[in-house]
Amino acid sequence: MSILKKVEIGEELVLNKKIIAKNVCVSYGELQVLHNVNLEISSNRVTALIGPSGCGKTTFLRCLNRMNDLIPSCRLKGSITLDGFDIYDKSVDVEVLRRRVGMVFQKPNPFPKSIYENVAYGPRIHGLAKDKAALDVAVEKSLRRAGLWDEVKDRLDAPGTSLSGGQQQRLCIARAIAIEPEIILMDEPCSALDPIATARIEELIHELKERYTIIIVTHSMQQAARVSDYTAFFHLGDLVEKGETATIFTNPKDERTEAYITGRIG
Amino acid sequence: MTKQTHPLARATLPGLEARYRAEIRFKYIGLVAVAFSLVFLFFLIGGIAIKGVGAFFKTDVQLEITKELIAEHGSDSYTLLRETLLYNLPEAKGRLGHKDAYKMIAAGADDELEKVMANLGETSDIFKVWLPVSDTIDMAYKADLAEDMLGTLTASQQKWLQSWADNGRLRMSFNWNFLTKGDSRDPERAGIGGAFLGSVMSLLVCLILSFIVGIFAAIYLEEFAPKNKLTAFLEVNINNLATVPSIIFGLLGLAVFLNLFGLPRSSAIVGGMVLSLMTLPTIIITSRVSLQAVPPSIREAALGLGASQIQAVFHHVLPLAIPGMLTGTILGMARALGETAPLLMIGMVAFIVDPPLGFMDPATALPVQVFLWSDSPERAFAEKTSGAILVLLVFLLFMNLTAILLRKKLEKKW
Repeated sequence: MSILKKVEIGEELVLNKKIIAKNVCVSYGELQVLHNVNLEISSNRVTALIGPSGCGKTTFLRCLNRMNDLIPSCRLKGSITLDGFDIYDKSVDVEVLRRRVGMVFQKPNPFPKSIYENVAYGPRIHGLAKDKAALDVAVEKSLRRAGLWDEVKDRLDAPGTSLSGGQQQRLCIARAIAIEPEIILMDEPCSALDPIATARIEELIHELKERYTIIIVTHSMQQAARVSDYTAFFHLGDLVEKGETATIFTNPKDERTEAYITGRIG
Repeated sequence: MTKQTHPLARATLPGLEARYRAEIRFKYIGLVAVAFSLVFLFFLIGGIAIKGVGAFFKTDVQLEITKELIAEHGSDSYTLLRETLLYNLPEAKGRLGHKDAYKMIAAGADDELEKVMANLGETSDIFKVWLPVSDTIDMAYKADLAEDMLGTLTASQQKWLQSWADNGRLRMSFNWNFLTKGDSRDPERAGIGGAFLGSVMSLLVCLILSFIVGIFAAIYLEEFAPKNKLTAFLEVNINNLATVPSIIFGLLGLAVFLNLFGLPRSSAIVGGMVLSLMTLPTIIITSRVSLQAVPPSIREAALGLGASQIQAVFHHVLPLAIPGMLTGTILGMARALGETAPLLMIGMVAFIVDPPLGFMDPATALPVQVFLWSDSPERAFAEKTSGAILVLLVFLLFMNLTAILLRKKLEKKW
């Protein structure tokens, strides 16, 4: 719990830089996939990570809540701090970290349980709701914030897997925000969705950034341009360029960035 | 003028004809194989059913008992039975004649007679009672007095049987003793109740041991164990264990459970332990396969929410894997039920008359009983053997059905 205690000090230290990655190198066995990545993530903003396939953007995202710990061969050098504290420190408990850094995956992956159970699971395991009534409130709040409440309020007992793809992804977002994280990592959340469902999720991201810091990996440059405040462009494991989205898209400094956003590589 | 071929016709693409022929050939080979095995199965089960159905029925004869006989021998059912027989078969003369007469009735009939006598009212001079006939008479009557079945009977026995049959004094009734009693040297008294109970007890021990150990081993190896040389070595050896001949496990049980631990010989608990050694690898392998079949996205979803590894496995992965695990377990149990060799090694092949009352009692098992009876010289045991096989098959069918239903029920949920 040391992390939670140190939150206030950390916030003062780094002002509105929520996450700071310094000289991050990641390798899977012999293969190095990220080279010296330096990136700051601003609080209550949407940061988009773009780049061609295999450039390491998903790897970087998964380092932020240590999901890469699941891959035995994965090694990380450098430091990533959350509110000024190293998340790869020995005293860090990954469950506490993931409680604060939630994640939404590429493919909607609701649990094969009811809609209610899907959202209630997080608060339940973390003991966030004292009783059934509090849990009901938490579930409704999360579903409302994810813009799904009106569609599912009459069938909370229906299996989460019975929803459409877009609804499932919003359910996963509701599930992620039910534990009140500070940061939400989104790994290509719209890649399996049709344009209408995508638009719905993008709207949602706009609404969510008031409360949460959002980092989104996307293949679609239009999406990055639409939803993000900051953009980081990855290419072959290097962070090539970072900055305000408007600047990156209108006035890229690096020629690789320019080539990518104009569609010449990628 | 030749007829123009359609541009999309089969003949326009060379080699397509041959491909279709190969497909049809394959289809017919498959059909023949299926038909062949169905015919085989039909003859196997049909043959056993026809032979074995007789074991479930017994022949009774109606005998007359007079008041005088009861008054004289009422307290001794054994003598009463003998005197009753002589009274009903007055032609039996001399020592040999008497012996023939006594052999008309089943070996345990005096016990039956005692039960009947206890419920008899004192109203008339002559009572009529139904008592089971001996195995040779039973077999001859079941075969409709066919020549080859009469061979073991003496001339006077044949005459008596004929007259009983002609006078309508014989009837068939359901042989409850076959289902409830233990083994016996006399075929008319032998039952599979003891063997059935022994099988059920052994399987229970086997289920408890191998299910708990197997599933936890599978969960640990699949979800928690580091993937290194040691676990790879373990995996190879578990796969090897699944292919070890079952008699080796019997020897191991003999050496370890009986000689080292000193557990009682022939007991259901040792039988169950030996069978669990045998089913354990199967259960571990099927359980691991069903764990692997759970999509990793479910694990990631739970871990991403800050669930611990244990929570992710027990809350989300296990409920999805459990139908497959249960099916694997029941199929392993079904294999254990039919296993004979390892049980022979630990003494479950002994001649045991009393059905086991506890896990430590001497017991035998259904397939072992089949093995024992098939070896017995009495003709009636052939019928009993087939009857025991039928019971074994029904038990197996029941277990497999349970597996299917359980799977359906658990999978239907989502």
